[in-house]
Amino acid sequence: MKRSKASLLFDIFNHSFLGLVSLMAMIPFIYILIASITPPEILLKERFILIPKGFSLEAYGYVLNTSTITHALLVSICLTVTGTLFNLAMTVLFAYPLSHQGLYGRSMITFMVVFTMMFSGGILPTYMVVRQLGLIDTYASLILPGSISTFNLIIFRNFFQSLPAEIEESAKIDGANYPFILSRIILPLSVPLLATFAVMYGVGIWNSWFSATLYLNSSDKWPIQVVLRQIINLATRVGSEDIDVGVVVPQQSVRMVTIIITITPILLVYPFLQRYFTKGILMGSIKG
Amino acid sequence: MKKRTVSLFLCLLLLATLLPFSALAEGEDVNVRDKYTIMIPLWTTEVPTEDSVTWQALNELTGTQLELIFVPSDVYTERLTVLMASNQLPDAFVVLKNKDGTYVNAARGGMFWDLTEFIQESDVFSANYSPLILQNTAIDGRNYALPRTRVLARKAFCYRRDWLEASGLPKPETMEDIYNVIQNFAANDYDGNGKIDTIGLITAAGSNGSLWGMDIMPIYMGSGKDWVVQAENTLIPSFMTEPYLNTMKWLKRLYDENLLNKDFPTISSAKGFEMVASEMCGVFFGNSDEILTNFGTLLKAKQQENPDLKLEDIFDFTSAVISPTDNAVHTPGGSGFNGMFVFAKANLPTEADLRGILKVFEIIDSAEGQNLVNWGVEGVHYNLVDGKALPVDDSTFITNDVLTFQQLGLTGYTSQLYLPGDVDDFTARVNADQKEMAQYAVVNPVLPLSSDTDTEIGTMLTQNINDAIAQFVAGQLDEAGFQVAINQWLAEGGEAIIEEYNAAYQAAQN
Repeated sequence: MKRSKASLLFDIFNHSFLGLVSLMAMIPFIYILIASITPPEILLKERFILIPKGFSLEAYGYVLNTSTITHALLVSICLTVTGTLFNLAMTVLFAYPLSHQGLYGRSMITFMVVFTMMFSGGILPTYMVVRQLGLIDTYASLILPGSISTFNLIIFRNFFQSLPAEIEESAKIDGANYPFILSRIILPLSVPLLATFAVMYGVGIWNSWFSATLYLNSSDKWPIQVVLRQIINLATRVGSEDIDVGVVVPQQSVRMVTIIITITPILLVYPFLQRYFTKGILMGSIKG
Repeated sequence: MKKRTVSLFLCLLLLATLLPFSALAEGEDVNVRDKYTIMIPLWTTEVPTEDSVTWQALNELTGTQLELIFVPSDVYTERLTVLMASNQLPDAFVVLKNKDGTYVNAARGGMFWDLTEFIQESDVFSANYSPLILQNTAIDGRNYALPRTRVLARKAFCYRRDWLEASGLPKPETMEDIYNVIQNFAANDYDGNGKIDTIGLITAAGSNGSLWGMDIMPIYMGSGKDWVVQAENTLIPSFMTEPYLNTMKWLKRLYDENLLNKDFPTISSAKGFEMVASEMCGVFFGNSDEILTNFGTLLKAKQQENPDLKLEDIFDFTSAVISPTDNAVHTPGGSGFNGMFVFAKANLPTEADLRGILKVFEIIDSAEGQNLVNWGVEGVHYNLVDGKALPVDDSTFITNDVLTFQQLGLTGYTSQLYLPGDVDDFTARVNADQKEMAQYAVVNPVLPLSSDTDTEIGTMLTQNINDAIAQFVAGQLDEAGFQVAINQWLAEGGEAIIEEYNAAYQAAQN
């Protein structure tokens, strides 16, 4: 099939325009990457740098030699893996019964769930609950309070509802009970959904820092984001009124390296789950 | 081998300190526990672990186990507010702002120990604290806290020394001189990049919209620090005074003549420092000690051409600026403290419990304790050279293993019982200058006073004024417009604030 000139022109324009837009999204990443491998003296003079000038892994050596960052990175990875699995399990276990018409008090439960979407307890009551449950200074305090996202729960419920009821009925006739149906029939059908929300939960846990500063007493339990924030924050508060005497500001290249180290693990996961993304988000969201 | 010497040294230290303090505590009922949780803000990137040498030395010196909770400094107040509201406080903790509403109310409500008598009866505290600092941190005349004292006068006009020498201008002494320096720096190419692109002065907007340097420039012009005591012994906010308006006009002149960065309302002071470090600007209004901590990379870059170059060759500062109002030196004074230790009654129910933890803090504030939190452990963090402490050549180690614990210190900066430091000439000059300038310090007269309206809405109101100042400098508001902003401030609660502070001020005078 021959393409018309206009169509070709449009495509050229379209591709270059979209290419530019995506380049704009890429520029901060490129800048941080380049800045992290540039010697500090050159970085100081250049200020904004996109083409590498000089090469130095000094900052990487410095950061990776400090026990705090490597330790916090390990904590974050473990937290994210267990937290994501736990969150997914909790969400599925809540959403599946809720998707059944016959569940007793279903509308009441749904109402209570949706209610938490509009009104949240606030920092202090949440803190009291965490405290009373004895979770202060435990890793569980970072996962348990936010283990089910209401919004995700509703999407899960709608997706389960959208599955043909006949599948479940036939399984029941064959003698399957609910745990069996969920694990052997429903979950295999929901792989795109699970993959999508694994990323959503995972990114959420990976990026969270506030609950860690609130609930953890021992600093050796800190996830990487708290450490990153501390490094960046010290640097941005230079010259402000409330900064204390003698505070030593981490070098710019050190800040850049920390950012690179912090975003890399989560960036590595993205490509593998990305193909489920569009599929998973659309599913269950429209029907319902 | 090394460890053994360290522990031997510590045992001796311990013995040396226990003797005087056990004598002091005699006759009083003192209950020192084996363990105290203490919450302090974290100002370093790394957190020390329990096997940190300084931490262990602290435990040995105080004879208890200090369970330190480090909270990143930027979320410290939020964490503390939650802990106060849920009444789950550690045994001792730092409160960063003495006017914080939650803290003031909790103190008035009897949540914390009133330390007034305990400070007086303690030989250590009564000797180390000046009455002024205790007065400045008091609530309704009572001391609920042990302030962590700081140098009173740190501010200065800082500039590139090599640039000034190249310009042939004299050391600036007045705001007019400073204007000339700024104009000269902007008109010449001292950084040698072949372009006349130097920005004269960089200012920036702080967290509450106050301009970077606006805590310094008005005082150099002859205004007060935030509040001014007028001739008839009444208080008004400094932005209602003539010298303050002159400062704004001075800045506007820079702005109009293209000597001030046009994007000032959108950048932070950290960005400003970066621009000075990258030689885009040659001056800043800030703390003189900030020269020491912010330009290491610039110095390193410069040393590639000239290895003998020192920091004092490229930077200098003037803290003694003569103000046009009375031809005398005025320098901005700080509060004299940065946060203070408070003790919760819930954790320390009896007086004996309180005396126990106060004893721990007395040890921390003794000469040995001050040495430990300022210099670390001899042989590990510093060496003795002619009776002076010379830190070992590993700044990262010092930062993480000593600087972090400085947050535990009380009066080190002012009582200076610790060893003098074997520091370089420039650092010594900065320290000497800050000490010297304390006598010229203009301090905020409302520090020891309280105003309920100010606690409640003061920050919000100040924000509007700060916005108006920025607009004035950028030419969006004229003098009449600024007056409108002041009138609005007065109407929205400013009048009540002035009234309350004046009433408190008169009461304190009599």
